[in-house]
Amino acid sequence: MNARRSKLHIFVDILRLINRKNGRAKPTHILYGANLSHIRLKKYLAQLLDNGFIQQVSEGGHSYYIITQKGYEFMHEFKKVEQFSDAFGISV
Amino acid sequence: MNMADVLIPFRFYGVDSIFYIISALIGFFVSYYAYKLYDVTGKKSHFYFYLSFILLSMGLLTVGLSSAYTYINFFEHGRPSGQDTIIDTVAFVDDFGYWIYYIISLAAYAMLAFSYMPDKARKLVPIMIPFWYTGFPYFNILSFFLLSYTIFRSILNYASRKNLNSLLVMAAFSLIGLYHLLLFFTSFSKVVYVAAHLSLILGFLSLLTMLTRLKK
Repeated sequence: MNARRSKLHIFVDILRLINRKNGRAKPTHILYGANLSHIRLKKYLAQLLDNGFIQQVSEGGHSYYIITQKGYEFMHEFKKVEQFSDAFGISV
Repeated sequence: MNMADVLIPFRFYGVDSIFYIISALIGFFVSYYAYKLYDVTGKKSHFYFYLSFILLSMGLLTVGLSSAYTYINFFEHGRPSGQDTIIDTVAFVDDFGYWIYYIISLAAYAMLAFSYMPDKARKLVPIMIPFWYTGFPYFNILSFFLLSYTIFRSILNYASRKNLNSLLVMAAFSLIGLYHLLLFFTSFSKVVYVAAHLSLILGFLSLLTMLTRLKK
């Protein structure tokens, strides 16, 4: 498995996980759902924040991650691309 | 291949050009998605895949336009009857179009097979190059040979996924392969030429159907 591919899939997995939680998830929920170590999760969340795919918000003393419009667009684009590559049998 | 080498039913004159142009437009549509795939992943193999469809579409567009030009001149000036200059120009455009198509589409099929190959196997591809140079008289057989690996991979993909999209891609590559195989036998019957071009357009329509099924 190539490093870039796994990174891309982890990005999408995290975004899909937040999306399943109605577009808003606590870091602990992401940690359990994404099946990543705390250090790796922090790294990926930082990259998703840098890319503008997610945003960190605080509410009632809790920290949440929400998916931005750019993040939804990325997920949507990735879904199409994934279907396209699946149809041709070329891995994403 | 030109009009003199193959048997083409008179009523099919120009229809083949339209088929080529439609196939080219669908090919450009596929390459648009292939570019999106490359844009998201940044993988080299996806770039080759994108490039293969761009090249194939350019080749089909070239042959479509050059053959349309030939047919238009044929209907305008009729059969060769001493107007050598016009006939020579038309024959040149037709031949030139086909040669561009031969070169570009062979490169496209090779690149397509290349994009499907495992990384280690790609090093073996240059072995095929000398075969290319001697293979032009047998362009369609060579194209079928290059495409056969892609067909094989698409069959494997359908066997493992068993969904409609992979079935449409498998059908598309198989029909495009059949087009090349049938074209090799066009000197035997006019029906073969029509069947080959129907196979080509059905192949590309199959790809178009798959693209329209992708989630909006």
